[in-house]
Amino acid sequence: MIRRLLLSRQKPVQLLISSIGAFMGILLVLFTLQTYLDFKELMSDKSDWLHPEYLTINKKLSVLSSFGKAEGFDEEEIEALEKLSGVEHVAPFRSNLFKASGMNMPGGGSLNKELYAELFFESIPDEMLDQEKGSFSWKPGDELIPILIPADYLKLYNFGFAPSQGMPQVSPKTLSSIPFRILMDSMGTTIRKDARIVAYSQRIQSILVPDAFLAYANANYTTADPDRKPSRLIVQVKDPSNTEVLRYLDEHNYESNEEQLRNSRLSNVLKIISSILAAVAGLIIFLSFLGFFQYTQLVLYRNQYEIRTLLDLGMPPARLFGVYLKMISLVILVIGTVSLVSLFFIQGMMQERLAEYGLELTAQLRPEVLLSALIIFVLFFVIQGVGLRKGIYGMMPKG
Amino acid sequence: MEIRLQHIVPKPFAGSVSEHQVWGQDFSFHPNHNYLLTAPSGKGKSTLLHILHGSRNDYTGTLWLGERDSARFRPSEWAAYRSGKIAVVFQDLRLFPQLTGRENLRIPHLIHKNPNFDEEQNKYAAALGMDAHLDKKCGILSLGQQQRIALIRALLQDFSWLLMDEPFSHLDTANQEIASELIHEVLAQKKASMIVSSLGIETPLSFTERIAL
Repeated sequence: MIRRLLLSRQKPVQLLISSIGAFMGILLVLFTLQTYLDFKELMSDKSDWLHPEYLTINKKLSVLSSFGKAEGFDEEEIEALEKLSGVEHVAPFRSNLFKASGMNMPGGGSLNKELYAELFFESIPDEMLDQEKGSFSWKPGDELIPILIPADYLKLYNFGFAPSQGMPQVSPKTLSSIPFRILMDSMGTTIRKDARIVAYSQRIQSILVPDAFLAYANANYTTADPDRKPSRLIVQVKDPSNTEVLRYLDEHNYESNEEQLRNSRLSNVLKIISSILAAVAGLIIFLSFLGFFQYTQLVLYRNQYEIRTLLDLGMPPARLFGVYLKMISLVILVIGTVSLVSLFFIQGMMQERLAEYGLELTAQLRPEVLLSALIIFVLFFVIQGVGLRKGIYGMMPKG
Repeated sequence: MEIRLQHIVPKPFAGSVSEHQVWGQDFSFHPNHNYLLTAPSGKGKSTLLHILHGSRNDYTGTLWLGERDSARFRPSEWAAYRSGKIAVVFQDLRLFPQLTGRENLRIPHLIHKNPNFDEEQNKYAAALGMDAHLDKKCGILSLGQQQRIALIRALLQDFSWLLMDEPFSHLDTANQEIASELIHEVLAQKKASMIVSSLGIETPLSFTERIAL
């Protein structure tokens, strides 16, 4: 009966509208958070196409330096890079210190024209390669040198060079089957080795040979100092969207490969969009809380006579407060359940749609999202509770 | 429980209460005394009852309820005081028109259990001729019937003071007689006292003290 008295002048339509407002605010906030976390994970996922965790960097060439030798990185600079937060590993590129050239084997496969080119090689530590090591290895005594070229080089050949020279286009597989001969100048004598392209790299814009081979060759074919300062570094970063590393590179006049920057720009755009969304969601949630707050205050106001009269008759204010608190808890429970269930379905839909694009999302709500939901509900409850308490106790004599 | 008004002056009367019997004085309502407050309208009869009830605090001075300074009451203590120490028949009755007479009477019982509730309710309602009207919504009862519901509601709760603000304004003389008899019976049974305000019209209630405000 007390409850009937206290809630008698409620307008269900207003309650519904306030609840829908709160529901939308909460849903938008949680959805933004979930999506932001999903995409953040996608961008740092090791197996993914958005995966830009390796940066190759070099020093920018200036007008002056282009007349001399490109500057290399010294120990201190490498150490400084390694110490940056967000950097996991830094490794130098090893270059060949001897003259090298390559030619196709006479009668080699479909390429019956003779090709000859001056070559350079680089190598990086095996653990930084994006291919399974497999055939890409070498030990002293091996006759065949495996080579890894940028996938873009093949495209350049197929769609640029080959049509203009009347040469056949080749698939990666065909090219891999063609043997090459590599000629290396070793203090006056020419050393010949067979070579084969075994893989294509998306990430490293260089002609790579196994590190073991280049170390061996540099030590044995030339008298040049094998510890020459490296002119390029490969840097493994934890989070490609970490602008701190990029800023550091900029400040020190280092250049990094464009693709990674593009990805990090993409992640920055994502960040900006999610911040805007979060701000809008925050605003909506604030307005919906405000709306709800006014709704409960209106309920108090409408039932003012009942509340006052019950207080006049000696009803403890805590008991009246409890009735309203119970109502609010029920409303929050309903709003909370509906928003979490809706979010769960939306997430399922997102997962399905994005799977078509090869993006793997989790179908589950993230713990961070559930925790935020809990915080929002508690906050909602506390704000309402404080407002109700103030309203009811305000009708008591002031002690 | 003694009720003591120590130099209490309601703010609307500030500056105009010299030589007054209650305002600005050290005045006590003693247990076992029944008080009649008489005065023309606007002299503060209702104000005094509201101050005693705690629903007005726009005054200077101190209201002592027993040994306690009421200014130090917590909300829960006010609630306990209102449900256990005083019962009030307000001039505006303060019934819930949307509830039936029976439901209205039940409210003090919901606040504070009365073991003899049913028995007392039936007895008081029968005495005042209200037993046939208990299941009607209060909003459709006549003023005289509403006044009797409000009186029964007050009598059904625990109290040591019964405060009544012009309780018989809508009752005929026959009903006033019956009501007076019932009130005195309940006061005796609860060993309680009363403070009643009246515009000066004589009532069948008997008083030990008359205070002209």
